[in-house]
Amino acid sequence: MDAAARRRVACIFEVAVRLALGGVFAWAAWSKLDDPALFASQVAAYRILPQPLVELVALVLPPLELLSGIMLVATKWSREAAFAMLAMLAVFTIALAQAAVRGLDIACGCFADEAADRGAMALAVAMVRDLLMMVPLAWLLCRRSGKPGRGTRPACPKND
Amino acid sequence: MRIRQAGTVTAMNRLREVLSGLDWRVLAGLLILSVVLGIANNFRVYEEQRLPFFAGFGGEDE
Repeated sequence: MDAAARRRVACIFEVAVRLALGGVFAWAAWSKLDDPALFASQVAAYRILPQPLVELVALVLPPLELLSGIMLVATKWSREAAFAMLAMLAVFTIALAQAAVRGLDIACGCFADEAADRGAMALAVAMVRDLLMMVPLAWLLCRRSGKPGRGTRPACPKND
Repeated sequence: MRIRQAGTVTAMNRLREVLSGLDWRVLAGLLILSVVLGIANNFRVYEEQRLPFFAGFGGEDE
């Protein structure tokens, strides 16, 4: 495969990653926006934050996910969106890991329609899912990083 | 040992390059907009009740 073909494949993969992960984040956010109280109770169940911070996180996190998802898909700031999503996923993974280690019987809180899935298995599935999502986001962040003219790879021509 | 140190230095340089390439004003704007939208969404859901952040979710009026 020559360089141009490789770049074309990478560009197609980039668009697919942006659509898929942006869609997942937007969907996750959308399902939480209608019931902040339920989401707050799910955050509180992790037992790592004091109550005022639980409420602040429950207030801010769904819009942050929604805006990041939209930014990743539809704006020129996809690197910033990928960074924000990576940071969120890292925090989610740490929270899930500590809950699993402490043996908490809680729901992940990742998607509203998963509220019934509880326990170690649900947490492990969520953790693996988060780690899997981090890989293409890290790739996206590194691929499109750096300032122009510093030897970084060119962005896909039709994406920005 | 020397190869591992070189790898670490390369990774740190790459990380620094990635972070310096980000527009932090966009990230700050994203955070501020999220707070505003979160508060607006809260008012949308719990219409005339007070902010849960100050009054607790469920927002019982005194």
